[in-house]
Amino acid sequence: MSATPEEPAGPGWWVCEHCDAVLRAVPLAPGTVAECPRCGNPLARASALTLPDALPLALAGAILFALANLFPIIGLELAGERRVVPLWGAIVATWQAGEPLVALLAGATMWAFPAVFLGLHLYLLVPLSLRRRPPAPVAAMHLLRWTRPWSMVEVFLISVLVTLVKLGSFAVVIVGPGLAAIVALALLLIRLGTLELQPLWNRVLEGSPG
Amino acid sequence: MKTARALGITACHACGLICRAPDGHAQAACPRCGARLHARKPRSLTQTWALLIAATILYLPANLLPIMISRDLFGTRSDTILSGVVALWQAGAFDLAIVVFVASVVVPVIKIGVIAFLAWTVQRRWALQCRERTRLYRMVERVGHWSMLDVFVVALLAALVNIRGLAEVVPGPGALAFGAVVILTMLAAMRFDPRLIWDAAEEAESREACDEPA
Repeated sequence: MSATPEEPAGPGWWVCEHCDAVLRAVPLAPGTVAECPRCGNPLARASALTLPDALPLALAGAILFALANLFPIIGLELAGERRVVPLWGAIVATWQAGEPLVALLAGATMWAFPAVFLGLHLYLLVPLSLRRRPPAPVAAMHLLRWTRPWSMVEVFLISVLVTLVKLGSFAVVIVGPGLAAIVALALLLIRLGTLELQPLWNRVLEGSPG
Repeated sequence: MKTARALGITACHACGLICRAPDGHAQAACPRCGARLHARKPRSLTQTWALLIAATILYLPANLLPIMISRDLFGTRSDTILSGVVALWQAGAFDLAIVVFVASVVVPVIKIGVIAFLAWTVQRRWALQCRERTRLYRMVERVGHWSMLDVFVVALLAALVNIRGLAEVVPGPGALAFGAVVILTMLAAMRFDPRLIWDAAEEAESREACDEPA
């Protein structure tokens, strides 16, 4: 790995995405962030999620996602009637209220993209942990990169809190076990979002398990 | 400090692999992931402006039209983004009122303003405050999706308050416009290429007329 300064290549070098500066990669002390000296962009974080830790997180995420869909997140008691809403409930209600585009928007960002995001991690990481190569790894990796910014479970979590306050003043609001699942899922997805894709690209394509 | 372009290399925008930059107008694909290689995002400014203008136009209906219509025994009430914030404030939930105000009102305005400012300064070939402007870009990128908050709140309320004839909440036409503003501003931030900020500085440096600190 001895690239000359004239020809930087490979993992020994960083190219800053925000200012195009080329820098020699340095090993990071725990808890530190390598910032681009030119523009301040974080180039690498010591705290970034590593590949071996990603699989258990993705598995836990898939379970939490299922729980958030099976159990009510919040509910409401009004005039003797009780309404409970799991994760998918808000999307269906918006659809039925005659706003299919809003339902699609909410459905994509709080349901479909998080689901695909978690699913892709499992699709890639489970075969890798079994020392196999997943089929169509390039397409899966591109999809992973595209879905990342559109998964908004943490925003949804805050919106649940806002809804609780809005309704709390005139009705009995019930908090369901799905809320705990959403809290954990939001934190977990944020952590999973710190997974460095470079090593994953190397692993899925070069098929060098280890 | 050398830039990748000056060294004739390109980091693949998709997988990060450092590749030799294609010569002239030749097109090349990343040998690892197959993505098209380019030193800068193609047509970055044109696309950024187009998305930004669309977002600005939709910002009006997003704020003027009701995002939520609530019906109960006492009548019908339409809420815009701003009246929803006021209602939270009057209910005594000051902290949440501030959160929603920041996410739904401040963030979209700042996003549109900052991206427009960045695109404009790049076009004017500003060579000043490159570092600060790149930091502004990072800020806009990071807060972008939080504005979706109100769309989710409306969807949740529609699901919970749903007893026909007694109490009902349905999304208003403003909700869609507002969601579209969020998506469009996020896309505008993604299409903007912050390296363009530094290209102007590099040009100025080579003309030896730059105040940029080394």
